[in-house]
Amino acid sequence: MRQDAAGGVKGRRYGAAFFMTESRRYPVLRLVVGRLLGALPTLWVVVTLSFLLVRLAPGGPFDDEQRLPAAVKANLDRAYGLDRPLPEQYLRYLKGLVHGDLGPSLRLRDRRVADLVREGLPVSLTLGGLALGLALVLGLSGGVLSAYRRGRAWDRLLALASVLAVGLPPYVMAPLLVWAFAVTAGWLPVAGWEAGRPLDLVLPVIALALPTAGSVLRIMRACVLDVLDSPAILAARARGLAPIRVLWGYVLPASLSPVLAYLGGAAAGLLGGSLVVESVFGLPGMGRFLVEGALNRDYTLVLGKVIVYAVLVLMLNLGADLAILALNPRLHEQRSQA
Amino acid sequence: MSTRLRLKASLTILAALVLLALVGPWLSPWQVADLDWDHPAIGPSLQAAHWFGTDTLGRDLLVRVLAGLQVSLAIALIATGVGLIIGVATGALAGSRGGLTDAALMRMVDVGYALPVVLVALLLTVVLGRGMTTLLMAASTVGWLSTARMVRTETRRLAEAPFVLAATVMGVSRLRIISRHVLPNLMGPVLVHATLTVPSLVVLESFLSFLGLGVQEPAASLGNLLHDGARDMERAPWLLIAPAALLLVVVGTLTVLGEALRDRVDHVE
Repeated sequence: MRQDAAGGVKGRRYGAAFFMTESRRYPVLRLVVGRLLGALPTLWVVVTLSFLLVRLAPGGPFDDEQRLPAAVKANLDRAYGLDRPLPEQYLRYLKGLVHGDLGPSLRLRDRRVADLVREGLPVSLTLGGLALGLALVLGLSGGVLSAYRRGRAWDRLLALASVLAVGLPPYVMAPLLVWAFAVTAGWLPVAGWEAGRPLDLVLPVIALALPTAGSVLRIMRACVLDVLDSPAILAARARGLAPIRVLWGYVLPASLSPVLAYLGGAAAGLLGGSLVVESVFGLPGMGRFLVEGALNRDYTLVLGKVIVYAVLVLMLNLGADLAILALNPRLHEQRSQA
Repeated sequence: MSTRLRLKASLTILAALVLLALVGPWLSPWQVADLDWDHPAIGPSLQAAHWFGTDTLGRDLLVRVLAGLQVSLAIALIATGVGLIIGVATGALAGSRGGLTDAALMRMVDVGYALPVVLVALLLTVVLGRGMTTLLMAASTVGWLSTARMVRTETRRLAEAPFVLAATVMGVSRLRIISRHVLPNLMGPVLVHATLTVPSLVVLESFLSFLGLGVQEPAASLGNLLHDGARDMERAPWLLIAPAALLLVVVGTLTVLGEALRDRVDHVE
């Protein structure tokens, strides 16, 4: 039987010990599944809270400046199921959600929220993904350079650059970049989006990436400085390892975790930034219609997009956790033994 | 630079900025919403008595920038304060009670982290409409979450300290232990944390106002000034440059102050 195999040759390890040996088998798989399942209740609470919050609002989506006749309004409410008791609406919404249906938009005629998400998501993901990649490349290399040149010209220059990058959020950066590179120099398009025109993405990605790059740089610099002072690095250098091997084999793995842990925060920042960058550059992403939707009480649109965003943030956090784990075998062992 | 110097320099700059924001609009011949029909959208000019120029409606930019700074700082400070009170209370409760209370409160914080503040602001806008209240409530949630986490960790650490054990043995009530022994020891880290929260809230305020969810015209805040500046940048670049530079200086100074404070508090411990 499997128990005997897992329980060892002596065959006396049952109960808790049995589960322990079992859990050592696929620690990573178990962890991934565990974290995914752990994220579900969080997501459920987010959905429920958002739903309740949105429905607590006084007034409805059909209260315009010009008042609709009562009969028309009643008909609209009935058509969208808004006349039902709240618990029923809630259950209905959950049921739709499980099937990937986010309901109809209440203000954009004949549009379904899931379709709007499907249109916008690729654009936003491309923008956000590229920006995150650029931010990591710039921030990590800048942080390492800064730490290696502690107190010298490069370090000061990069410190100044990171202050500028963090203090000039995307909505300031974006118009400045447009002014400099598109209006004045004329090298890049001012705004717009056509599939297959990568030049359209250059300015938005830079504007979105810079603040995150600045934060990553600061975190990375602090970590690398810490690591450089550690005995492990002294030992590696004393053994005569080439500086580049010390960097790749010792410094980087040891200093990456805090940066990865920061990625959850970065996700929130990128998300907010992408709302603005999309609107400044006229990109048809997820942020489209969202602010208008919040202002004119398009419940389903706001709710649907908020949920999609929350899923993205949760997923990025999970990915970061797993990456930290992959970098640090010690954590990994502790988890599976606990 | 030494910690002392950074602390002094940033505090001086900050005091000057606050003074300017409070007194400046009062000294100027223009009001925030005054329209100068003779000089719409002119650049910085001493002759016309518009040192920073005017916007497209002919409103004096200097006054608007200073009044905007006043509003932005006020919002950031209030939101930090509210977030701090809720955060410290939650964190101290979770850290000292442990068990189910702790788990429930920290789950709440986890959920909060899954919902970025922009989304909270959007949801609140649906409920309350746009404006100051929405802005303040959304901004308060930022400081609350991180403060709660930090205070909880610190409380748990302090709960094991010998002097807390001694107090417990002497039969001091839990509430008294928290208020007289734990909280005073938390003041340092909490102060540092709060100082570092303020600049991020200044940015958040300007961000939400930029999206049109925050401070509404004709009142000025750094956010809606930046919004107008970005819109009219091609014909009147000073409209973007002035508020952007001010935002940069304020956020930079506050960050330096927070970090200097952190170094100092660490040093003392």
